[in-house]
Amino acid sequence: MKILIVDDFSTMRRIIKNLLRDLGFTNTAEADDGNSALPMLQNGHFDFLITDWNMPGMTGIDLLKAVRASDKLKNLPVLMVTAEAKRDQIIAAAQAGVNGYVVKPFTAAALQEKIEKIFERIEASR
Amino acid sequence: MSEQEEKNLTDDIAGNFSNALRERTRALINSLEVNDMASASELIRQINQVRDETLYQEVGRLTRALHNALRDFHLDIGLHANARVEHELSEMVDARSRLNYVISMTEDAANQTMDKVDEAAPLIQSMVEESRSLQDQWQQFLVSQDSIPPAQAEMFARIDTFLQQVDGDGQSVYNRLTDILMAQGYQDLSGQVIKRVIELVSDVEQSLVRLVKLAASVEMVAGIQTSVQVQAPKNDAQKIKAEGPQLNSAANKDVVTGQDDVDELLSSLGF
Repeated sequence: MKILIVDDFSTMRRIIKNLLRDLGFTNTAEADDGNSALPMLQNGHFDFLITDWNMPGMTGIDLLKAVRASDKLKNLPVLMVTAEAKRDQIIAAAQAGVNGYVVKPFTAAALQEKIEKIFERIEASR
Repeated sequence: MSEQEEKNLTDDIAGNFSNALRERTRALINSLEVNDMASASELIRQINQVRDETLYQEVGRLTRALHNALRDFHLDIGLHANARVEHELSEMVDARSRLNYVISMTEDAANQTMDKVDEAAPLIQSMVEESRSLQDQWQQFLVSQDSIPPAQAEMFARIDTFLQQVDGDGQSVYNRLTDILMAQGYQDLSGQVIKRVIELVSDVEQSLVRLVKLAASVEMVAGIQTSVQVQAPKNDAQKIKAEGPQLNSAANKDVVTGQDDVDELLSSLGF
């Protein structure tokens, strides 16, 4: 299970990376916005994407749309971890095909629950 | 300026303009009645001029207020910190670089905290693991004993309790370390807010420069009789625009120069 963590704040990347390690996911990579993340996703074999929304360069929502528009990446599970908490933003993310949405500040349990739910759904749809 | 003072000033400006308008309108009607077209045209020109001057004064006042607000924002924050910090702060005469300083300070603090969490977590984890394996061995040992000597019974019970406690408390300490890790998310959240303020400050600075240039051209177009010299801001305005959030001290100097040039420009406009 290879996971890409995208956030412009290194503090948040580190927090998510540590939490994933606790959950047993040790194969992670990091990017600081959509522009650096997209080529990594296209060239590497990632199984899961965790992205922030508000980033300079390419935002998380644009990254999500680019992922869904790509033949290679369209089925990649995407979890958004963001401070953007407006109802219409969450609806927009859902419409763009996000698999989960965690609002900052969040708890370790919330992140774990969303990740597990995403994988359960993927298993069930197979 | 208090709200009342500001209201008075606004009333004054509006009052002056309507007085001037009323006076000249009467004169204008008189001129038209006696068919004096030259005087009538002159009066219309004067009305326009008064209106332009009023507008110009308002633009100037607004510019001045904005400029003062910005200058206050740039004032020394006057912290009585240690010499090294004071030196660093004295370098930061600009609001944006000070805000970036806050972001980098909180980032350092969050990373230091997480370093300690990363150091402590494996220690407590191995302690928990060791206590669990020792508990298993200890139970096997107890089972293998035919009887426990009464003299040691109390100590055996304490060892038993202690091993369970190390397991339980250790796990609880580990969970709290995770909570401490999660709490460092404040750096991201506060940093996002500060970045927005930095953008706002940049926008305000750019607007100020545009406003100052606008005030100068209003004055020029209105043909008002003060000597206007629009200096320098062109290059500095471009620098501010291209800079975005402050990243290095060399650019900081440029921003200060820009602010000085704004001061200079404003004073040349007679504000």
